[in-house]
Amino acid sequence: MTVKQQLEHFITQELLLGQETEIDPDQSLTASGVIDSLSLLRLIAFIEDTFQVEIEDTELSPDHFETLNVMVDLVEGKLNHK
Amino acid sequence: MAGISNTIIEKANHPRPHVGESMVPVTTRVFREIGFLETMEKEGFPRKYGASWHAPQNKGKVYILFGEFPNDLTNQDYTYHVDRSRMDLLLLKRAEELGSTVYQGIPVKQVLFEDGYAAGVRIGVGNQEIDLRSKIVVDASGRNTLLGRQLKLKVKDPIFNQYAVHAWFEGVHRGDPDVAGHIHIYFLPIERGWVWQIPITETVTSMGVVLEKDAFTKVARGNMEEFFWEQMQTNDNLAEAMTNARRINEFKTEGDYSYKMSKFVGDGYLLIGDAARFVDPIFSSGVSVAMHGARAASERIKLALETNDFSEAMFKPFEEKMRTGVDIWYEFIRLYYKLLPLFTLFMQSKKYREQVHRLLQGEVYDRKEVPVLEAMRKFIEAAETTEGHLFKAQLTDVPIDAIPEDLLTPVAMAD
Repeated sequence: MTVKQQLEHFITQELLLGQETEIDPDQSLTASGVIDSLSLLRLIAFIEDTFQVEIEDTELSPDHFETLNVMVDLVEGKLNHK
Repeated sequence: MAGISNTIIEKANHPRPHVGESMVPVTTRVFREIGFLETMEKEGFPRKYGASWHAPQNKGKVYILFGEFPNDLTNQDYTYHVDRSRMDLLLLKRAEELGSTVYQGIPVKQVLFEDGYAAGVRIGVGNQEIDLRSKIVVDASGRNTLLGRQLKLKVKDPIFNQYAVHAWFEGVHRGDPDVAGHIHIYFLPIERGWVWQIPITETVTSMGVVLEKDAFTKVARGNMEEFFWEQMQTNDNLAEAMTNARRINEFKTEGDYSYKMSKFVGDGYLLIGDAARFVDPIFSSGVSVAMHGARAASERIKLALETNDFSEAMFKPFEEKMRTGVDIWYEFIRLYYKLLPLFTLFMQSKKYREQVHRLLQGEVYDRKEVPVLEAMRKFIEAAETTEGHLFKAQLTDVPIDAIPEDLLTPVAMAD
């Protein structure tokens, strides 16, 4: 599975409990309430465990978590610099 | 205190009830050193294998098991919950076995001073007052803070002004079997508000509400029962736990919550445990701090008697050690209340999980050994300064830097 597919799978299955099977990669997940402080905690744990990368304190902003696409950019950027 | 002539003067007649029923694992080290661990085991106090925290509205919980990061110093993957009336009586008996003279039901009226040095105590016996002489006075009067009040050393905490209401219950549903022996902390949807759930026996559970004092207006009007049960309904997991709960003793209250003394030692005297300082008990630190304080005090007392030096300087290393320890707890407590999700984030972080565990086990006597506090500070700074930071909205107004001296006001003397 690609980074995008893995992230989308986690968001739809774990955060949305299977209510959706796919999401618009440019949809704001913070504005729609999919990502709040508690789901963000789970998402961070998932990203760090699955991709073996570390999210910096200053990266917890909409620039990196607003949409599926920006999350993919963040993770792929980290994987490319490993 | 083996080899040293000493007298314990206890105002209460034991057994007597006391709050402070849950411990952290490092307490075991002191129990072992004073030959008390066997008693703790034999008496069958409930074993505490971990701690669980519950967010309001069933929005998540987090727990730790002490066994995940075993502590070499204690060699046990658990600590204890206790009925303090039983444990304190057993401790008093142990002190007697080790050579202490114990008087119960005798109030200390004041500490006597001679040439600036503490030189004994004045006790009340019936209608009489009697002066007892000693080379050193140790104030272990707990939240009565006898010497702190006498010498006007008591300083109110400028951040935390909490108040607690607590009682024992039967029929509390303590959760799934794997966490039923934990202390459970339930967060309330009000800043700095939480509830403890502590197993006392197989069937009896201690439940206590801690809130900022302003939130206790109903208590002031005498509606303790109503107030308590209202709070029980504000956290989904808590409400479930209390569905069939029945109260079996009277509510008790604890006010003037957090304070410290401007100094813990002086010529001829030392203050230990709650007599020196009290911080929010959310991490069950109180008994550990008291036991480690007594341990550190005994080292200096032994040296003082050997060298015939009873000066403040002789006892100062004890104060420094205890200040460092409690300051670490206090910093952790402030960072915790500053940004609650941070605790969960660090608990699930591979990098910091062990350090948070060590802290929660009570390994707090060397600031260099707890770099996780610096990491928490950096995270909070990032949340404050990064535009749109996703945890910004959860930041509270709890100050996490040094407290300005002008906020540290002496407590008005009660007597």
